[in-house]
Amino acid sequence: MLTLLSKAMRSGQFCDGLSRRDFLSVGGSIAGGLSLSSLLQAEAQQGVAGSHKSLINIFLPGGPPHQDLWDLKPDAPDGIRGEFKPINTNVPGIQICELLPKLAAIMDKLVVIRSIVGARGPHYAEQCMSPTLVPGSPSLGAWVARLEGPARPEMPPNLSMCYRTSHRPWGEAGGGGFLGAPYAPYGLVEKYDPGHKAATTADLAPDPGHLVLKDVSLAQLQNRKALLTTLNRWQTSIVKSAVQQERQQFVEQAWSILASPTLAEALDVSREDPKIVERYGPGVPVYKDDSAPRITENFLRARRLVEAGARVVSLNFSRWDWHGNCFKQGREEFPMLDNAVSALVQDLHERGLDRDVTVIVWGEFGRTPTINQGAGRDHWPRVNSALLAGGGMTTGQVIGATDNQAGEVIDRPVTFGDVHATLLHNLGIDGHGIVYDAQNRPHRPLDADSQPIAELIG
Amino acid sequence: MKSATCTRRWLLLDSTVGLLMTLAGLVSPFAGAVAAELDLSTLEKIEVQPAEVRFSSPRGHAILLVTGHLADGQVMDLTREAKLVSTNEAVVVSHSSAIWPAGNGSAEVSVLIADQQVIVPVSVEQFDQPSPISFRTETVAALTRQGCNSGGCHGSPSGKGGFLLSLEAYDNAMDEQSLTRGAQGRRTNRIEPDQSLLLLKPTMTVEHGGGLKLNKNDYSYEVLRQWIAEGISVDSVEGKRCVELELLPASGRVLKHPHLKQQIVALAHFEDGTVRDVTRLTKFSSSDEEVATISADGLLRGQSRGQVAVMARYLDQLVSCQLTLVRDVEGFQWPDPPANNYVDEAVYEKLRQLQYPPSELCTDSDFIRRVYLDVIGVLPTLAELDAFLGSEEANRRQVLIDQLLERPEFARFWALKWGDLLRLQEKSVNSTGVPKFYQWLVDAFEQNMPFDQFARELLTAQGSTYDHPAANYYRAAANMSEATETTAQLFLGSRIQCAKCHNHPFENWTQDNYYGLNAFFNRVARKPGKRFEEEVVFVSREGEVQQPRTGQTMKPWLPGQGVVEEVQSHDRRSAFVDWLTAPQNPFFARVAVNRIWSEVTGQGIVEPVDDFRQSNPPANEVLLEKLAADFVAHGYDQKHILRTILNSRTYQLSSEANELNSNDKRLFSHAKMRMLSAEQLLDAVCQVTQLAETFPGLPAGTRATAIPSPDFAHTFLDTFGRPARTTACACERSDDSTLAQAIQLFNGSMIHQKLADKQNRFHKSLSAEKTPEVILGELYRAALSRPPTAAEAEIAMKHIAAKETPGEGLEDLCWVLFNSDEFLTQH
Repeated sequence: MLTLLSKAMRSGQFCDGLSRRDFLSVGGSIAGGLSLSSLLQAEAQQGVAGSHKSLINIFLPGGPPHQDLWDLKPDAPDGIRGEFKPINTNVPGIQICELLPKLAAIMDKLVVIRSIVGARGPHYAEQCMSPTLVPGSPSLGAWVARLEGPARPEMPPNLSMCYRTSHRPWGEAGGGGFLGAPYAPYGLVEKYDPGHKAATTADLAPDPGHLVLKDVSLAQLQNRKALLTTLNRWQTSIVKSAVQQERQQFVEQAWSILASPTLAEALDVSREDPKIVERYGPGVPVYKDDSAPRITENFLRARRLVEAGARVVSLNFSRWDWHGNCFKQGREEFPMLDNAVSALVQDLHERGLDRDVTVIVWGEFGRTPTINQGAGRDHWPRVNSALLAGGGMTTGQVIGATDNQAGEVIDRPVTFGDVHATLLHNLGIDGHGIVYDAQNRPHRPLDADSQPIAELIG
Repeated sequence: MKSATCTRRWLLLDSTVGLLMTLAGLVSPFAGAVAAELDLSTLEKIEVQPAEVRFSSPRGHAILLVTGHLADGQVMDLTREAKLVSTNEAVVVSHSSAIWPAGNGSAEVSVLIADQQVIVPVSVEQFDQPSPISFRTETVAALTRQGCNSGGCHGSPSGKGGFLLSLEAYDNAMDEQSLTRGAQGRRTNRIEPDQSLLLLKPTMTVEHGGGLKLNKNDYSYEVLRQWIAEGISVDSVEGKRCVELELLPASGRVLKHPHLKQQIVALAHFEDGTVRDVTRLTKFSSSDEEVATISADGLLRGQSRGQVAVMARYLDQLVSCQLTLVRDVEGFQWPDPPANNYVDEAVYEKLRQLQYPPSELCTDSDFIRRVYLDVIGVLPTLAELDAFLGSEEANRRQVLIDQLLERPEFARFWALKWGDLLRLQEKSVNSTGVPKFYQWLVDAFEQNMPFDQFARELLTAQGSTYDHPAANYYRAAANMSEATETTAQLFLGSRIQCAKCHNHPFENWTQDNYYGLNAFFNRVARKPGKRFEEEVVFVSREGEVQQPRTGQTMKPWLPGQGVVEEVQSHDRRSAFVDWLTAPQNPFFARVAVNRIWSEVTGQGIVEPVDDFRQSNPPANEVLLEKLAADFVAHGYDQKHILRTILNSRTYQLSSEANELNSNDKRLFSHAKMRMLSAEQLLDAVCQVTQLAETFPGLPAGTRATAIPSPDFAHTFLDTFGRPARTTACACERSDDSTLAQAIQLFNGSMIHQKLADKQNRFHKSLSAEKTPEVILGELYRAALSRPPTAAEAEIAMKHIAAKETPGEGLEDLCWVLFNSDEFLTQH
């Protein structure tokens, strides 16, 4: 086991148990002289890097209706009961919406959490992106990038396919917080303005920006780099200073990324078997009002990115803030979600990635039991739900329950922090380990009372 | 006769200790060697502290600190080796290095080692009086010492395992509640004290998530057990306040190999005049465990040469004792370089003591590049470079420094630095405020405004922020708590934010202190003015600060001075500034000169520059003190201090380390390499290519180092760590290398466009039919302030010749220069 302890730990200032994840630093000051490549090498020798844990975080902006998707209440009175009927799944006793037949057929590979509590009222997308809501706290992906570093030198660990949206919180994949900008997700679709007009889904395809070569050819860059190595007298003639060593590890990684087609290829769905692409179903290349477009290929790209070495991939999909026409929109959106999520989960299983890759599909809160005048449902922070898959979890189960109107949690309340704790656990990270900020204040990824959901990780 | 016996005894004792410690893997072989080689043949005298002991309770206990003075002037700690003999065991008894009372009366203790003897008078009173454990001065101190209430354990805001204590025992009431009534009272069992959860868990008798934290033979166990057995009572506050924690030996002791161990003794001075040895209830830690470790019972063991501060916490007192550990380095010989001024004298003294020979003087090329970047933020032009390198004048460096300090770029570059700290950006001071506040800063540096006046104008500012730009100091703060924190961070070098909610865990700031300081500023308020988004800063006639935990009204309070009973004006800020800028103020000048030092050397004497505290001692106290005194003596003239530093040989040393100083990161034996700042780098790229950037809303030709605020996105500047200016912390400007930076330099569009632009330096020179050799020389001199070496020129020319056009080859060359460490760093 490769363990790099922070100074604070060596002097025994705190008493938490720790895993190697807590204090392994890439590019930070703690690792000191150990360069990224030597860390990776050390890991490779120990067989750590053989497979890597990763997360696909699918954010449904606006708060999807929990009672119409995963927690149907057919016996509720009119005006509360939705228009959709429940159907049986392949797990006896678990029912979900009739518009989700493909997911119902693989319920044994899924987990539904019906009892998420503690949502904040406004559209706080960040609660799906950050393990705590302390101001300046890093997003989950940033923590993972900081504590784990890249799984493969040619792939940045934390990537986002969250489109920028005119309602801003729905497009934010979370920042680096006090960990700093280097750990924030690299935005693959950031070049598109909110509401960007596109004719096809390809017009909204992710763009790796500076991460792939544009203005110069690889041969030209190789030629320049060779010249640089020859001429950089400072690299050989004097004792290497700390600043050079630190820079050097990023130079090597930058080179790996630029010289490698991995990222560009991962984003290129034309390299995929057309039959598989078809499974993900068609999308709609239009920004849904003030939210994100519906690009189902991005579900597939997410899979390709984690396969290529990404650790956290976040994406946003459509607009779910259905104050009106809940059921009309459901008939349009649910099948798209059914196709894309079931294809993703099935894909992961077929490739043997179901123990390494966790998938979560969720929004910021649930919706009111009462159906309003416009056949819509309003914000309902008292209950939220999530669909999970993979990650080595015990699937085929439902966590928690709501009352007969899906209005209050009556069993097994789960907080957003608990969900993040579960995700971090699946990623192999101790969410209660300490990392110090520039002012030497201790921070942990999770709030003290956030715990992984025991039923899932057993 | 007597001394011979005791000699044998200490030898035995020490070898046993040494063996046990080695077995436990706790001690380096380096420290183990000390025990074996103890040689007292040159011992000239011993000294014992305290010189006299008065016990006023049957539970007294005191360690006698014994210091041996050797013939060569060195000292050695003999506390654990000396023998203690009581003249009357009915009054005082001893064991090992400690003494404690046995009955009322007076007696003496003889301290014996080799042929030395010192008599310590001891008196005992109130031995027959009851002496229950004091909750306020003993129970909670035991919890702190064992780490129970530390930030990672039960002292965290939500506690651990349902058990919550106040962080480092700042809140007695909360701890009382938690210990005596929390968990349905199961934590303390008065009938069977040993069965209390408070004792069962940390001893791991029952499962404890935090592991083993307490042993049954620890003194803390005894204290906690007895406190429970005596009925978990809480004593009154009266007379119990610890007003001073004194450490023995005093700061400044130098330990020389092989005598690298030192017992530390903690003496608590209480409000009622009593002084007690509280070593057993004090938590010790080392500021640098690579230099020295310290055991729980206060024994410091040196690991390598260097400087270390031992921090000691007892109740709300946190003090430090600074020690220097030296060891002869093989092959070290002091090169005796000339000292240009007092800076060099102070730096050399330290380097000589710790045996790091300084590097050579840097070359003229290195110097001109370094001093341009440090003073005005930009690279020298070819003409400036040629003039300087061609000069034969002996004082050419001094002349150049004087010239640069008068350049207009100087004021703008230093306004940029202060703009970072004062949160100069639109969200803080609005778009009208940005240029006004910026201009105020530029004027201040242009006129070389004395720093005390600078502080006074900012801190006492009022009126419309449009008419009185300095008042933006208050506009930029969200509230007056934040203004207080900013003031402490900028001018006292203290990060007091932690103390807002609890006593500071690593500093001597209590929550009372925080609100006491806040009382100078809390009457400042803001109201809208008549103009668009105008704000007017004013001072209310009244208004007091409540300490939120105690509900007490806090009187203004000053560090090192205490509560200020009477403030003349309703605007208390002037009183604060009078104190702040008084020549004898212990913080102001030191913090200011440290910032200046750090700006031009890349490393503070105290580092980080806004983190002055007992537990973070300066790397060179004499240097800091001399600079501060000089600053005060010269009327807080910042340019004078800059000039002094820049003219020192220390500033002008090469960044190339020699064999013996490459390990030194703190003592300024060689110049520190660092990345150029985002703005410096962008300006440098523009200057090398002779293609200016344009920035939104700013006149063409504005340099990046002269941008008033970061209120527009700029991929290159943001990638290279330009701060968003949301805090008063210098740490917001990131100097970390990142992946994104490397990618920008390899593949960024800004760099690419500048290289391809036919109007750039080398393409234009090609059009003017200069030879590639000449152009190559120009590029090297523009980027690195030096011509290429013959070898570099040969490689470069070969590369250019192999390309279809010289332009293509020069584009590659320029790309290589931009990606070279020599270009990217200040060195």
